[in-house]
Amino acid sequence: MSEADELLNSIVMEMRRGVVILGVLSRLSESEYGYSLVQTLEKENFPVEPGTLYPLLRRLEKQGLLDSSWDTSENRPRKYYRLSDKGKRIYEELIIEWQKISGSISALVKGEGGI
Amino acid sequence: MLEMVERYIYAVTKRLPEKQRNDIEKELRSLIEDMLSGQVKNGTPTVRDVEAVLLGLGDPAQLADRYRAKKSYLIGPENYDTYILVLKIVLAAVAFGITLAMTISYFVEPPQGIFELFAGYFGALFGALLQVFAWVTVIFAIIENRNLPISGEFKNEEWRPADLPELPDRNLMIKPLESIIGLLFAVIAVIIFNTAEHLIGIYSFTADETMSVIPLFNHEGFRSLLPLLNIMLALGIIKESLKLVIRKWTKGLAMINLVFNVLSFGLFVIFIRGDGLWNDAFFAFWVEAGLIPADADPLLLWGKVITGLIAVTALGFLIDSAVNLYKSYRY
Repeated sequence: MSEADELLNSIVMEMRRGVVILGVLSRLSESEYGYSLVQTLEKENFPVEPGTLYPLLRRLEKQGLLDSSWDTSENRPRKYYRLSDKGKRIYEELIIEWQKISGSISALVKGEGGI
Repeated sequence: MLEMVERYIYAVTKRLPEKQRNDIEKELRSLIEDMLSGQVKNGTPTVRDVEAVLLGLGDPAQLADRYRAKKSYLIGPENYDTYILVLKIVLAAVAFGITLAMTISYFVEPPQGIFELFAGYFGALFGALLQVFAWVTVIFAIIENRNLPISGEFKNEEWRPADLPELPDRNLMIKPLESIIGLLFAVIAVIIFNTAEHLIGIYSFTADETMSVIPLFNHEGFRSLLPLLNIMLALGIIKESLKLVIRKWTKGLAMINLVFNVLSFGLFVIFIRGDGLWNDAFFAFWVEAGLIPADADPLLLWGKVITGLIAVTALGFLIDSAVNLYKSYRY
């Protein structure tokens, strides 16, 4: 990989890092466990590495955005996460923020006879 | 095959705090099993499948870092520079102190041979440096662990432009070297006064080439007055440390300097005029040596010396206090 590619890669990673939370919250109005969420996000063309996602779920739970529960009824116990009430409120605020950012950046890169 | 999974889980969880360990371990295991079943539709997963899944999760150390959401340090980048500075000063002071003490003891009680001399010296030096290193490191590790603030800046208060440090004024700057030398002498003085006070005195050689010391101080008298001296030296060490940290004569520092100087001077006067401080044999020596006329009272002469000493010390403290107070108000 050339130096420019590497640089591009790291900038894209940083960009994605900011919106991963929004992407994750968007799929958690229904309970999901870690691996099912990995697959869902991949299907929606927003793949998040498992090594990033699993710790993130725990962090969001600790911050009170997610509720969790262990399901031990099946032969493999799984930890399910879903949005808490606080999480729902913040998720809705985040959508508005995202639309603002997305709108202004789109206008910026389109305007001024850009590329 | 599944042993590799267990080894991976262990490599992650051993880096995590006890409280979270069990839950993360359980969750991670079920997640890896899920990933394995996702990878292999039918049949049992092969070593290659397991490796692919674990590679997808990445380096266990990094995964653990993400679970902790914070890197762990013994001494973090915020305190590292201060740690190194303190370590350097303390190690240098102790090395110097030990060298000095060993040099003195070499003249007082020469060891058997050259080998004993060096073995003794390096043994003592190495042991002391190791101890000091360990203690400084432990103290800083506790500071890191407890998240104690180490510099004078109040990190959790909001920053305001008015808080910006003023540009250093040449006249107000304190040279670190000055304080380091001051600290060095204070540490040496503490070591000597607390362990080798009996070696301060007049050294004389008798006819058969053995050396004898006539101590200046009376041992019991000195011991009972020693706390005064130690408090005085401690004040000096605190003062030099403050100067080293603040690096600039502020009004507050100049006031502290004044108060410490007054206290030190008071302690010095009480100490030097203390009862039974001096060794009678010391005065007898001067008379015997014919340096003081036999009819003169050595104690009376000595009293004059002490008065002179007090005057010189008073002048020193006075100048130091006044100059720095003047500086801090003038500039």
